[in-house]
Amino acid sequence: MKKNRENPFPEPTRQDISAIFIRIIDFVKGLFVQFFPILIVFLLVGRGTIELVFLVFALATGFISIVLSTLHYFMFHFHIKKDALVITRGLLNRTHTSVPFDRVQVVNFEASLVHRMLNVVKIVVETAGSKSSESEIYALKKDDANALRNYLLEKRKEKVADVKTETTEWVADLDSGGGESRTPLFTLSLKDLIKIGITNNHLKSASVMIAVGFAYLSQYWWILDDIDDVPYLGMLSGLFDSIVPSVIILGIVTLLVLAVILSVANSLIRYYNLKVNEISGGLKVSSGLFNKREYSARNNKLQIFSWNTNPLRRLVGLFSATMSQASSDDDLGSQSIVVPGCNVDQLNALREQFFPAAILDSNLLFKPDKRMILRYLIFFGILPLSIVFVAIFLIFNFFLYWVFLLLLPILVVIVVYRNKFELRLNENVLYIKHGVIEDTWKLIHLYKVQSISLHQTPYMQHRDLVNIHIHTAAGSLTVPYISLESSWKIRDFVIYRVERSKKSWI
Amino acid sequence: MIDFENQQILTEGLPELERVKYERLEMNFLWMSLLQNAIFLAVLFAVGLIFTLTIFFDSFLTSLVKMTGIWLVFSLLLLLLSYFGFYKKGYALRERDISYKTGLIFKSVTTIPFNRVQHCELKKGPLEELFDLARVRVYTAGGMASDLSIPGLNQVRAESLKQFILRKTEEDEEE
Repeated sequence: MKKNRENPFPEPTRQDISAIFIRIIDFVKGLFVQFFPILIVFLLVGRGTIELVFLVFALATGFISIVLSTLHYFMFHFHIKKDALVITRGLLNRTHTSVPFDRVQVVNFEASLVHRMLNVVKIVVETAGSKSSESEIYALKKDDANALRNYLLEKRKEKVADVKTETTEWVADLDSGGGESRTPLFTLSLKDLIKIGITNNHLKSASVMIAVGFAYLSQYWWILDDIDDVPYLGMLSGLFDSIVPSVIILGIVTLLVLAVILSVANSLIRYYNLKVNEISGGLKVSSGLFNKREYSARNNKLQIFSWNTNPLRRLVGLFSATMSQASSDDDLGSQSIVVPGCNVDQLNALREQFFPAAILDSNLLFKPDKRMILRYLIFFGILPLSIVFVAIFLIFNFFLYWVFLLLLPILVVIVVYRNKFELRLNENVLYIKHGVIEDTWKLIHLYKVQSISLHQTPYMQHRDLVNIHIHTAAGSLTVPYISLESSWKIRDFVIYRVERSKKSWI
Repeated sequence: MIDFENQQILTEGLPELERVKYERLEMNFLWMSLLQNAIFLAVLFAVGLIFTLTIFFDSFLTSLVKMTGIWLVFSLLLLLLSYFGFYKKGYALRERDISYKTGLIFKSVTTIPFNRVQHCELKKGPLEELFDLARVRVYTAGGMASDLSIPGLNQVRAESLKQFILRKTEEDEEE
């Protein structure tokens, strides 16, 4: 904390020259992802004229991206003023972004593969309550970046120390550039990551894959207006009819296998070499195979600590933990840090950082009322199924009675959901447990609650039942079907704790 | 895992919000919302008229009668809802928080402690200007769902309410 007294960037400075290259790559990558399906279709169809159009298109975008990136480089300046980090950019609309030191929350580094090849990092300055994309510097030499971060955090600390007397909450993590010197709280090995990938919720990812597939199909089906244009497809279609059942089974198996492979790959790419370090006033999590990312979870910024597991993970004793931090209004909950897998001891170590065991004792339990089951069955079972039933009758003119068999699994899901749901409350902490197949637990410091609202449908007004919405800076939580009496007690108590608290919620 | 036990902690004698008397909004607000709905309904009728003029299914007259019938039922419902809904709206100030309740069919009460208020502003639309009314919006860091908007205050009261909330928030910051 003694080094770097000097302002490293007193004058408006450009980024590292490699920013041009990085912006081009980003641009092209973005376009490629966007047009990937259309590319495949073109390859399949392979008409001469379209290839030409495509070539022109590719050259044009390439040219435009080079021009834009170069302009961006020359028009982008940043420097540190007496009390703020200032970023100026834009060709026609010049934007001046000024980030006062005391609003700086965290300074994060991100490095994609390209960044690492060029030995630069991208800097993201997170502030309380504004979009972080406004305060990003795309490429800066590692040393410069470190100097910038250290200086910012140091200034931030001074500033805060001026305003408040107790500064214990915030101490800059000056060593996070080379934070490896401290021993990590824990790391994830390759074996752990594979375990995490395999025990993922594959039903979820498979359904996501199907949905994405359909979305792409519906977006590009018009290109395939003449199905015979696709080579071999006509031949195949004859085969389909005879082997439909086996194709479906094969399809499901392939999909599941694909889901497993994808989720293993995903967990390797995102969480490779994951390290959780203790830093003063919080935790630092870094990981990534190609894009090495580094996130800090601050005690004061953390709003919700949650962890969950599914039956597969429970079998191998794995949990995943999410630390949701305060974020700007328009993207609540986007600033959450995920530790994808850890055992009970590691989970407890994480939890201990934000919620020491001592404050979790002795509490009061609330559960949703039994009447919730029937109401949910009507709204999520009988009503939608009846609509499907009537619609099928109107369109195809026959009664599809068996759709009502679905009521049974829906009922089971609702009953399990109600029975598992728990709200617990003590003097300091609010705790929610819920789930059907996956179980999720959430912890919130009472003093971090922003506001509470009670909602009642006409039915609930008759039966004296209430849905409680608890709003935090990292999203809202809903506790369904609590008795009116209890809901008043819960609200009065939480509000009382918030109002009595002198602690700042951020 | 965390082991939880059960123990009584919600002590009796906490300030009970339910005992608080909610203050009703200005009567002008009722007239304003009725007028607002009337304007909306007039526009709706015009659109319906154009629609029936261009494509009528049976004869023009029966289409017109049907359309008007549906429109009348809808209008009556909407006006009744906004009339009776008015008497369900209200706000309550306490020393350390503000609450707003609303809802004829779907009831809700939202409470924001002053020490969680991010900022607070006064808003006026053209109709509100006409009826000498204003809204006070109270923002927290919890996003749209947790914010409050109290409509139907007369402009003097709205301004003083805003000042009151701002003063309370500042007091909290000084402490």
